Amino acid sequence: MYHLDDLWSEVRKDRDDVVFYAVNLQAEKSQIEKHWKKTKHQVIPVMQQDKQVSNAFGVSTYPTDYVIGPDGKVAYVGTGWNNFEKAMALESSIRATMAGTSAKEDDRLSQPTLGATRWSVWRSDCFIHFQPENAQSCFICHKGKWK
Amino acid sequence: MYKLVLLIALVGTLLSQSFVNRQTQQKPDQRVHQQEQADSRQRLAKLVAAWRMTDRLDVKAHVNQIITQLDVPDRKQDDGKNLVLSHDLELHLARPLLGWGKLAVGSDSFVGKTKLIENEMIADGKSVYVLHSGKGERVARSFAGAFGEVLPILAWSAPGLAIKPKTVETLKDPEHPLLQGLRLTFHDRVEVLWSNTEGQPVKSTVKKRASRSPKETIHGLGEYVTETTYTFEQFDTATGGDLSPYQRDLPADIGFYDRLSPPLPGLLEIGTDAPAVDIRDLSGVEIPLRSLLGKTVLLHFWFFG
Repeated sequence: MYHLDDLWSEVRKDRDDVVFYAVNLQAEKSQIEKHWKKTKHQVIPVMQQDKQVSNAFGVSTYPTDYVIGPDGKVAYVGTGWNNFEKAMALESSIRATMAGTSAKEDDRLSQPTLGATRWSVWRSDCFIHFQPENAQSCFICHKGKWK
Repeated sequence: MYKLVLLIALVGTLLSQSFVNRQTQQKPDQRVHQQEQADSRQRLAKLVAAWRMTDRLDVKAHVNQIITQLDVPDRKQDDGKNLVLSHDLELHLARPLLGWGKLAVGSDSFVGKTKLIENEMIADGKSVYVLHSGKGERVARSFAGAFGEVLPILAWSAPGLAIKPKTVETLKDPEHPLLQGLRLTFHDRVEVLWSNTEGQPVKSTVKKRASRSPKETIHGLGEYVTETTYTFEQFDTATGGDLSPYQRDLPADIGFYDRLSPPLPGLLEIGTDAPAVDIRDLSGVEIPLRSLLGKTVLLHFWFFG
């Protein structure tokens, strides 16, 4: 989730037309509030009743991410816990949706250019290092801990 | 044979002891209670030793049954010899899901520790299926309430699980020629499934790499190897009694596997309209997704626990 917090704080710097929601399966308000207080997540927690939203989106695997564009159409869907490829695909689709293009046209972060060169990214307190020699080897450092 | 008779005698003695102890359990005195717990632990240790000594599955089943009846407060704990009894509970939980009939023996021996790979958690409309692992039961408890029913499962048989084996080979067991074996090779594990001629799973062995820490799981850097064996009631039927009806070939194609795993309900495709549903913020105010038109919205479906 921290990668989403970081990404959101980055993309909303000069834009107010982007919003990140964490749709919780848990229905208890107090539980969610407690968790958010503990983790200090920035992504807005929302609830759903009887898994209505999950069912409407066909979500059966958790976590699942959906990006919905300004036109109300699905721009990205991905499942599974965060890993490097997924994080980059999500980020590139959000940036592309915000820029009004499709994810494929965004060449900076899309998959084909991903493996071209060894590179690193610094975020607020997160460091991503990518090695093209081994697609699996990506290192993410968050708050001093390697992930 | 001599060994076997000895074992059965031992088991019988232990059973009668526990019966007598329960009958004399009259005073709720703490010292008596402590003594009983200590006795139970001792009996459990003996039973576990008996369980480990034999390779006969029917003997194991018998011992296991007695262990289940024993009122041992810490029977879920590791006895220090890597026999983790709590997995019986997981297998019993899995029973209605798999429709495999009664499970007689379920026990795992571990080399190292196991770790649930968090990706391998599947939920359909009613239940969540947690892939069988050392943490299955604990995980199941922590998610109870969020999902309703939580069902730990064996990996290859998970309904709706998208993971398919890379290769499937048939095997023969020289000791039990009437059993048919399948070796399923997955991206991260090898599972051997033994079935009787009616296609009922009889025994399954899972061999996979387990990681030292959750962080390493992501990169597949696990060092430990776990080997887990599940044995089912049908094994006795298949090997003990009249073996003649059990002569039939088991299909070695992926289709056999597919029938056990109906596909997942679909996610929405890219380019389709997002459904008109409402989410609620924590104060209970409904936010219709339609009201967010004009914005880029990320919906991160998740849970914590």
